[in-house]
Amino acid sequence: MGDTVRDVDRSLYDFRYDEDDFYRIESGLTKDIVLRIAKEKNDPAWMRDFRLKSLEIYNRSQVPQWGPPIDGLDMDHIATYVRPNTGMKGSWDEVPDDIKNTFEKLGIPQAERESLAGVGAQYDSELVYHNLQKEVAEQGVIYTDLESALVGEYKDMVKEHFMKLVPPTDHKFAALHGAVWSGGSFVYVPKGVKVEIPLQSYFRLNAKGAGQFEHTLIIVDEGADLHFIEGCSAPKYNEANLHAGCVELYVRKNARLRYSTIENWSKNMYNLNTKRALVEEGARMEWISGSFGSHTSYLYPTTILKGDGGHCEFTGITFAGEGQNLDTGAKMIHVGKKTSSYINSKSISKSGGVSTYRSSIQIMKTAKGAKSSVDCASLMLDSRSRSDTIPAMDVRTSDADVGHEAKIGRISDEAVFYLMSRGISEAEARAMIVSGFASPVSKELPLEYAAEMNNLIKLEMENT
Amino acid sequence: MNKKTKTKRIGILSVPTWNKLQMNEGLVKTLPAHPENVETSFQGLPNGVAHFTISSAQVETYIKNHAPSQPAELIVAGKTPIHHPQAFATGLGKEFADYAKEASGEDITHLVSVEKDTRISDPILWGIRCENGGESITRQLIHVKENAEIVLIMTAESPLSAKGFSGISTRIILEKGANMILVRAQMLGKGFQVMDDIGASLEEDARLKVVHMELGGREVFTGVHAELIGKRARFENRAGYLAERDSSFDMTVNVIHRGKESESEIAYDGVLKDRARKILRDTIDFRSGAGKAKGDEQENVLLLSDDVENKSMPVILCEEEDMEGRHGATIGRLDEDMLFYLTTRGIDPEEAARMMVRARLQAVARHIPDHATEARIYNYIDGHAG
Repeated sequence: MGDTVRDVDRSLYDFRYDEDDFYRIESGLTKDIVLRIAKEKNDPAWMRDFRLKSLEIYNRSQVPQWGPPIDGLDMDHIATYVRPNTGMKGSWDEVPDDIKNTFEKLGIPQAERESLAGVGAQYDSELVYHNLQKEVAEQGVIYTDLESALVGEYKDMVKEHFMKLVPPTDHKFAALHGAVWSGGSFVYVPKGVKVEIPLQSYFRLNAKGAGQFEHTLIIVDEGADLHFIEGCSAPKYNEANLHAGCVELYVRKNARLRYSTIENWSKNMYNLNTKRALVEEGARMEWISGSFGSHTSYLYPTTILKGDGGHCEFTGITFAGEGQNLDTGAKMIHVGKKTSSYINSKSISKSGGVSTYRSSIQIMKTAKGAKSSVDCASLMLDSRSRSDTIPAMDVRTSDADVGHEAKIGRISDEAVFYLMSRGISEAEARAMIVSGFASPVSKELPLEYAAEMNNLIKLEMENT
Repeated sequence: MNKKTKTKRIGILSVPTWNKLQMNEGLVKTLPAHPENVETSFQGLPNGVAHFTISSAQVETYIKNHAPSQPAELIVAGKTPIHHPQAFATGLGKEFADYAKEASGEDITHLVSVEKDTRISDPILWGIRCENGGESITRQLIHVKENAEIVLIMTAESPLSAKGFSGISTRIILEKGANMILVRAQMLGKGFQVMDDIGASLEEDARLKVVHMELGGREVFTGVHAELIGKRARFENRAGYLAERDSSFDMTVNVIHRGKESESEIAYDGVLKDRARKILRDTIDFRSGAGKAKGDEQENVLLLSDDVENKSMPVILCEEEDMEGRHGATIGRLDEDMLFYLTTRGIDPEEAARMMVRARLQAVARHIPDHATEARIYNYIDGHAG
């Protein structure tokens, strides 16, 4: 049976502009470079010291030995800071044309007009646009770039939470992030405030041979509710780019946070991102994750269910095509009583792509009455590709229910035959089956983003 | 006890994951320096079955001449190269195999050879009796030739309170159409250190069923590695275990599907009590060319104390499109509805728990084709399941 499902269509993302007039720090990672970044960004003293401490940790940490190879990543050839030729603006009209055109092509201003409560747009190392609807701001919601938050009214809150969930000691690329982070967003939703429509940050890495290290810090206070969307993309170059962002999410008592990501980095990108959420009593965390781009990905959103009755759901899809090695999954750490978690993961491998589902479920001794369920399915579209499933479970109390189901298989000939017997072409039938396989993720996204995801999967048929 | 102190890596996960989980490998700190070779004498082996003792050098030559090619290789799993250092892979891996070879004073491997077309339906019993303080090791190479069939039941027993060491290394060559049931019933004392290592290669239409009952021991390592090389080769592993007191059970299963339409079925059912710790790493690995292969892993763990630790690592690796791989795990305590039902019929909760532990292990023991062995297992469970 012919291979009828094509790779993700990237033409939408593979455009780029020159870096004329941009400030670009030289490639490599030294104490001098870190100090210059701190100076460029007018860091407070504690942050400058934090960067230097992180650099020390980075220098003594080992590269992970358990995941996909990252030999092609050479920090000596990565510029850790590239500042575009503009400051942050509150109106698209003030953003330089080439940058504005980039986001126009990606549909961000249009989405802002139609369906978002606020938008942050980062270009290389800095935010170039940030805006929050007046009505939402009047509810007391704070949505700003992290640099402003670091010195503004919420500076103590930022200092109290910054890299506390993901300390630089967590792993080598968390330490790298601590040393050279730049850009990203700070969100605070006050007690009881429900933000009806989503906020979105979009991260675009345009510069060749550069890294993007944005930091997202979100605090959803007691009883509050937020949906935050993160999008990312980059044009393709022949040399490695690096993304080592960090996301820290605090979901306070009885609050709810949905964090949706459509990741479509270019295929020269090493995506070594770290995301973590702390969920308090009665709170709810929802991760929606679509991984389509990157040359190599290490991505495992982690949730610490600390408070009693906390709940987390992870719904993710990974599509690994030619030249891609995407190692993705989730981690759940149950600490509080009667906490619950559910992982629903899908992966598709084709044209020599490697997709690995990796997860861990840890039920601590304190997590009496905890429940966890994992359901992961992988689809192999040809025999040049690879699909691995590496889940771990660690249960330390008898008062827990843990279930796990995993399946790897191909498109069923019977299902194709059935559809063909109803007058549907083979190519169409295969596309329908793959589309149905991906639907648990797309149906969780707002309509516009579901459409974008379907566009990404791009189920084009041969011979049609 | 004369102990070696160098830490050994025993039972290694086929693809590593986060080191912080401490699940990538089993570590054993001490092993006896000079365990004794177990004396083996079969009484009245059936016609067509022969028993010899051979040296390690002869074993290597024998495997080279008789086993299907299974060279040391670089496995590309998730494109991460993993060195597979054994020419004939076993579940506990190279460091245990080297230890087993070097530690025993005499260089003896028992070769059991079953001639072509020989079909033995009555089980061949191979019992090891250990005493308190005993340290024993035995190595076997079992060669079942074309279309031959054999049932081999190996039991290891000792007084219930005994301490000691028992090491067993078994390599199995199954030729085309060969069929073997191997039973391992470990009923040693609760102070024993136990190492049980199995490696098997299966040619076309060969079938291997391993039934494992691990009931005793303080520190227990078991490993099974099966290479399904031939077309339609089939491997089945039924295991039941009872980990109690301060025991730790470390179990590794690797099944490599190379042959078309090869099948594997792994089912582990266990009970953890008191302060017991257990880890199961079970991997089904579909290699390119294993078209229409099927693999299924199932694990059920019953947790009977708040102080137990259960770790499970069910891995499926796949580089073949046309296959089906599945895994399912259920980890939890006694079913409350069932407990309630039993207590409403006048059965006290402790007795109800005992019944359910016995039922869980019985379901595995029923796969043993020998009533006498099965009965001894139930006696052991009844003496310890309370």
